[in-house]
Amino acid sequence: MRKLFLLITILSFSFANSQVAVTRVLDVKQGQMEKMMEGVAKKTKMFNSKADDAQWYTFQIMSGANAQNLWRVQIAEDLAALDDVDTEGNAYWDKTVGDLHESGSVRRWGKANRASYTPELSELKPLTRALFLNFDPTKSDEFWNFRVKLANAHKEAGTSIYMETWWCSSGCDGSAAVVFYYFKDYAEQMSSNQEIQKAVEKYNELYGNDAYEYDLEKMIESLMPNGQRIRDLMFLPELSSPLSY
Amino acid sequence: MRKLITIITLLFIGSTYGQTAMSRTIEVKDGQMSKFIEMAGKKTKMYNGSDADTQFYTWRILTGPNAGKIWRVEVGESLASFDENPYDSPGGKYWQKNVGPTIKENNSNRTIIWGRANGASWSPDEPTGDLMRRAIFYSYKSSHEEDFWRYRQRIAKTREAHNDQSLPATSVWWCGSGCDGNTVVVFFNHAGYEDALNDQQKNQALWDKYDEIYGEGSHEQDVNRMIESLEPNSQRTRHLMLIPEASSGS
Repeated sequence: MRKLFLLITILSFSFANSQVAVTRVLDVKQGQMEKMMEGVAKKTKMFNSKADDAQWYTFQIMSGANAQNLWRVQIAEDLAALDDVDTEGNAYWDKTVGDLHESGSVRRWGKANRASYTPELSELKPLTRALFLNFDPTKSDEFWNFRVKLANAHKEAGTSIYMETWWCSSGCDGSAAVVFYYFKDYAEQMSSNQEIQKAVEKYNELYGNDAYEYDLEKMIESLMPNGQRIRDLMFLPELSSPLSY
Repeated sequence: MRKLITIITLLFIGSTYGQTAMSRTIEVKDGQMSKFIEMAGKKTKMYNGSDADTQFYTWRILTGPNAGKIWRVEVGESLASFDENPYDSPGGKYWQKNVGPTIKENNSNRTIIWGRANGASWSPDEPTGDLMRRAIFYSYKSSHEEDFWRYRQRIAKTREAHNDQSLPATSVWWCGSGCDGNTVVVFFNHAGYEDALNDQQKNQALWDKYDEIYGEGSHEQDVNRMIESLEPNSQRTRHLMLIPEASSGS
């Protein structure tokens, strides 16, 4: 496990069998949000709505320094797909919404499948809580050990917690990962306690008594100072490619 | 306690949210402060009365790099109070149309979600109506969570046992979203700077009570551990003044 992630994070040359994402913050100019949203929705419908189009997803940032702005995410099945440049779609974007915003940091991510868990989904879960984590590369074992075991515990317990983990392969400072939790709304988030408790119990059943607390402490120790940022995002389906469920 | 807080900060179990607040810092255009207060007050009266899901409180920041700016805080009984899309609600639209023009471009962001730590807070039986707040923002190390919260909980319990009704209300909130690191803010209510000075002179009696409850020397020991739990340079004291005419309940 350690070797795998060290190779990925330090040498970063392989995304084998893993989805990739490119994210950027769109800093929307004062008073232009409505027009920006209309433009993004139209562009996405025209250029990103078919299965073989580039898939783009849009979130509104709800907390933190970029609150109220947009977060635009392209997801591709592999790294090679990012080589395809959508010249026509990009030109349309520049022409229609280019003047309405400024682009912030661009980051590239790879999905950590073993540290992710998707339950059976029957409805949209637009409220997204994102945990951005920076960890000490010399303690990546501890960091990933917990994340992988936790995802497995959720899977084995069959919880309803929808959780995805992505690691940053370019554009971040240091070793970074983000864990997304998806909810229908804040009310559902508030009621997720029981499901999380189920996963904790399964974790201890699978990996030994008190394994959850021990591994969690180790994971916390692996974090850099102030290496944890929580942000809330709201998924905007009208401004996004169609979801597959 | 450690388990509880670890879960709060890293796994954010929703049901641990009691009273919840959402804060944002706003920079008003030069010469527009009176207009901002007038329009924010109208909006608050129209949409955020006592029967609304959430109430708004508007503060003038008195110290620090954001002095002169506004801190606008929305408070609800739980996290679920915030499920209405703030950008699409009638109140939100009224704000954008009438208050938005008085705000400087891109300066109404830095939104933070806070949960009230009831076990670390204390209030006198009767509200004092004090308008000033001394706010201490802390960031603590994830690995020293227990040391940070031990002191905050114990000092609140000590205030309760001491029961000096002249002590300032103390309200502790932890950052659930929008902060970098583990952030907590402790508010002390004061009528003004002189009142704050007088309040501090009552501290020794409180600390003696602390030692009486938790053992000789425990106050100093717990404070030292709490200080050691902090990230470097992570303690910021700021003063705020409520603007009642732009706040709910006025």
